[in-house]
Parts: sequence; C-alpha cells; structure tokens
Amino acid sequence: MKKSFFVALSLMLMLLGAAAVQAAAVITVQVEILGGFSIDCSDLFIFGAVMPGQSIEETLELKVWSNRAWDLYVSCIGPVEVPGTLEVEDQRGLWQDVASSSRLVLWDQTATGSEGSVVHIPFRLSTSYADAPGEYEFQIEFTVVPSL
Amino acid sequence: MKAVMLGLFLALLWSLAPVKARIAVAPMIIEPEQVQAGQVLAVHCQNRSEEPVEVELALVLFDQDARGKVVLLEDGESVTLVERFLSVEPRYFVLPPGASQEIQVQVLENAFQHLYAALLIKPRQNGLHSRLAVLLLLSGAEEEPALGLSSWRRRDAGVSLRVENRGGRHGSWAGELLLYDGQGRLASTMRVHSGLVLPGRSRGVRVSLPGWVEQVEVRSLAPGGER
Repeated sequence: MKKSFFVALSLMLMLLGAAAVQAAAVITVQVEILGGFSIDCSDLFIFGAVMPGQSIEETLELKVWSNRAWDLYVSCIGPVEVPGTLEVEDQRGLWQDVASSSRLVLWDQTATGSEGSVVHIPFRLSTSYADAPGEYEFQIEFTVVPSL
Repeated sequence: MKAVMLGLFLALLWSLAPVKARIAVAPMIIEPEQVQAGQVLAVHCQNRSEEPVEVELALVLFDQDARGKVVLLEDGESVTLVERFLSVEPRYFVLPPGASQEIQVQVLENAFQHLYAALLIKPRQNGLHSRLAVLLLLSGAEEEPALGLSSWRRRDAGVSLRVENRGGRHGSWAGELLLYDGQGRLASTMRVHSGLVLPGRSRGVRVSLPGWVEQVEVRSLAPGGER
C-alpha cells in the first residue's frame, strides 16, 4: 500500500514537472522587414490662364511612404513640348529647368513612418510672346529612388 | 428629362475623373552577394488603391554623380546593355485592389564585373505620373571595394570630405572625426559614413561641427581606407 502510494506520488510529480517545462517553453520568431516605398500624387495640376511674358507658380502636393532614406526626381515626359520655361524648386530653394532633363528635387529624405510624408513641390511656368496662344497639356513624372 | 441630363453629366464627369493608382513596392535595393547566371531576384508589388491598376516595368542602368546621387540612364544604348544581362517578367500586369504580384528579375549572364541597374515600376494613370525605382547592385564574386578618403578640408562650420572607390565593387566608407578644443585637447569624436560609393566613383560628404571645435583630424575606420 505504502509502495503504491509512493509510485503514484512520483508519477504526479513527474507530470507536474513536465507541465512546468512546457509552460516555460520559448519559441524564437524570425521575420525580415523589407525596405519598401510608395507614392501618391494629386490628380491634376492646372496652371490656369497666363499672359505672355508672365510667370505663374503652383505647388503640387505629394505623399511618399518609405521605411528607408529616399530621393525624388521630376521630369517632363510625352510628345508635347512644354510652352515657355517650366521650372521646379529643389530643397535648397533653387529653380531648375525641368523640361530639358530629369531633376533631383528632394534628397536624403528620412524614413517617413507609417503616416507617410507630405511634400510640396513648387513649379513655375514662365511664358513669352514666342509662345503661340492655345491650350497646352504636358505630363510631369515623379520618380522615387532609394538614397545610396 | 432634367434629371436624366444631370445624371448623364455626372456619369461623364465620373468617367473623366483621374484614377488614383497607388502601388507599394519592396524591396527598394537588391544587393546579392554573388550573382549567378539564372539567378532570380524577386520584387513584390501591391495595389494599395481601390481601383484595378495597370503596371508597366522597365529596366535601365544607373550611375552615381559627385554628390552620391543616382543618375538613371534611360537612353536606348543603356537599355540594350542592361537587357543583355537581365530580363524581367512580367513586363506588364493588372492588379486588382489589394492584390499583390511578384516580379522576377532574372540574371541572364553574369559576365560582368559589376552591373548597376534600376527596375522602374510605373502604374498607368491619368493626370500625374509616378515611378518607383528599385536599385539592383550586382557584382561578380571576385570583386571587392577599395574605399579611401581622397581629400578633406574644413570649411565654414563643417568638414567636407570626398570618398573615392578604386575597387571593382560598391561599398561604403566609415571614418571618425577627432575634434580638438581651444587648448588642443581631444574633446570628442564623431563617426562619419559616406553612404554607398560605386566603383570608379567618388562622393562628397559634409559634416557640421560644434562651434567650440578648433582643430579636426580625420581617421578612416573602414577596411581599405587610408588616413
């Protein structure tokens, strides 16, 4: 009787020990978060009517999401030639002719966080009497590039 | 009749309204250790808008300017060259809202010392256009970077450094600025990182200094660096 009691007690202790070991189990979880990015542009960008010899400025709003540093380039694309001179203001405050080639406007921008980063890009269109009257439509393209 | 006309007008306006196409892309930089012919590099693209999005892809080369910034080379010659070594599949796809697509860039041949390419991912949309450029930094197994400080000088309230890479692979330089006070004592140190420098290129780094600094020394920390 005494022997069977001790056997039962030993079994119970072993079971309790095993349960304690299970409760203390630790699982290592591994995950790799990739560098990723996204951009959202306004729908349309309209300068409106402008007189010859006049300059007009408009600011475009963009939103960028990125979890690492990034740069933003602007260029004009498409078959239609831009009337007058189209310039974009970079982060130093310098106006650059954007019709001729791609321009770097923002650089070394830090990771945006989950809300993204709203950026404002000022454009300036300067016309002259060399530009024939009419409605012009041309396309602007933004390229987000990771900073090296 | 008036209501029908108004309805038609609103429908026309709706159809002319620009479609917002927002995609998310990862990773931003792919930098495999040893590139093999046939190797596939994966890029993930997800539609984050509420409309289906058409996505176009293109491969181009890129270079680096004196500021260390990416210069996309989109001329015909560069495109022909990059497509000799890399292919992308699919070139075009339509993503329903919330859907994802794996883009595969395959290395066709690895007979290059290094290849710096960009995968341009462009959602087709009305209105303004946007692209996301994924950078592919590929180099042969034998290649190593050789980074060094080619020049530095103190200017205004900072230090301007120029880091050069004479090796066959991209890399980054790390250094330390030793900052001395008015009594000539080493009062503080400051770590400096160049960011990536492509082979055969150099880039400038500018560091602002605290006002009390009288004298500065620069020490390279990266392997292959020179004092």
